[in-house]
Amino acid sequence: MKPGNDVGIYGYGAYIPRYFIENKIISSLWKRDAQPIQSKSFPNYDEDTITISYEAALRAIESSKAPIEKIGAIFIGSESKPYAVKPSGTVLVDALGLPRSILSADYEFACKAGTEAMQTVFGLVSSGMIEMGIAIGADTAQGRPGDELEYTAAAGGAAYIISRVDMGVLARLEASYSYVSDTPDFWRRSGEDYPRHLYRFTGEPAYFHHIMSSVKGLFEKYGYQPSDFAYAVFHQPNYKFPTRVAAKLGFTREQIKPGLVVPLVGNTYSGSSLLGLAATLDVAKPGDKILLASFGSGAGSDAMVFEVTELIEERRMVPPVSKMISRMSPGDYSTYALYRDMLKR
Amino acid sequence: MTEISDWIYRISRYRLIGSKCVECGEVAYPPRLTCYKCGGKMADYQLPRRGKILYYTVVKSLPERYNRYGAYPVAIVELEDGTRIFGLLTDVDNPEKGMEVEAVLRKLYTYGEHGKIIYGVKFRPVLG
Ligand SMILES: [Zn+2]
Repeated sequence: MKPGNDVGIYGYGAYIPRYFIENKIISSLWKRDAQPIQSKSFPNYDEDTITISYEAALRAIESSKAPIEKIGAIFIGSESKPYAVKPSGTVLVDALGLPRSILSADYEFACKAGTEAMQTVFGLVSSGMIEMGIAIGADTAQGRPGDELEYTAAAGGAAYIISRVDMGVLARLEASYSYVSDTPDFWRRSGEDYPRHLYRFTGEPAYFHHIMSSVKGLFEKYGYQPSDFAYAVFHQPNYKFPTRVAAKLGFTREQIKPGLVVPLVGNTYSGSSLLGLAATLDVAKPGDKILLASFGSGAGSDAMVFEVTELIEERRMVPPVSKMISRMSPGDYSTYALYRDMLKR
Repeated sequence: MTEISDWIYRISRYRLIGSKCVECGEVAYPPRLTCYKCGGKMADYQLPRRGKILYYTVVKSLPERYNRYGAYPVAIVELEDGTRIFGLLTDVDNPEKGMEVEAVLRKLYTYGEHGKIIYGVKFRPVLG
């Protein structure tokens, strides 16, 4: 897909909660050997997807000095909404002081709800229906105690302010491509606390097939190849998947390195690829092309191509993702269980 | 706070909006209609989000809905414009006098397992 009028990213912000828990604590508790990553973030007791979205959006607004009176849409992509019924975006509209003449909705598409929100805002801005909009991907992902997902299900998010290119963008959207199919690798039924997954399903038919299809589709339709890109960011449910999909598509370790935040942060679900894009924008230079490819179970993938502009230098997020990670402090399993509301009282 | 006043005061609690006296310039948070110093009219006033801890203490006995996690650090924060306000602290194990903090949105409390989640400003160490 190509926008009718040129659009791009005006500002970006990310947020990761303060606490992390090491995989070795979890694996020693369950007497297992598997440690898919080093550590994962978890939310404080007073944090949820709404507060994480707020922090990411606030950082995007403050770092880019965006004219918030021009914002006409705010969409939050998440699979861990605090309410089953009651929109998250309305809290953000009043907490951030956005205009009340605004579109707002919560999106759900497992881990790709954040890029879905971006695609929608790109379309609304490109058509001229709104001047600017905010797209957020954020989660406080749930992992059943003892399940494989407990090692990686993390908390965090990122927010993107989107505008027309002539308003001044730090990265221009060149093209995007989306691919979906009915592939039941992971789900959570209504009223359930934790998701279920078919472990054998999550790799080839789900993650790899959908990301390969969206990226190859994009490359074939618009004539790109891996060497065109300074950086690439893939959805990162663990360390193995994004590094393997990058290699299969012909990308080098160097191209994915800045955006690979999963080893310390974990899988932030709807926030995952967007957090990787934020970490990549933290180091990107004008003229760099960046490939972003999300993945959401169920399943689907959005691939997008951005070209970074000179405005990146004055609009980078303060502080960068790397500093947000280095400020994190370790938590034990009991604190994790208490803050994640896993203890009966 | 009741569920009605939670709603009425949500904007000032989300955004740290206080009031400033149009006569003498006194600032109040939460906002008031009339100045407690001179009786003059007060207008909405956006307080700065950043400040530093002047005094702090840890409260260990609070009503159930505030106190599910044992203890709450609270502080008098001096904001960048000199206004001093009372606030809850978060993301900090050992508060210190002079610590630079910023206002962020957090969950304040919930009405049990089935009720509403109430959000508002808390202060946490600046991220940088
Ligand atoms: Zn007065």
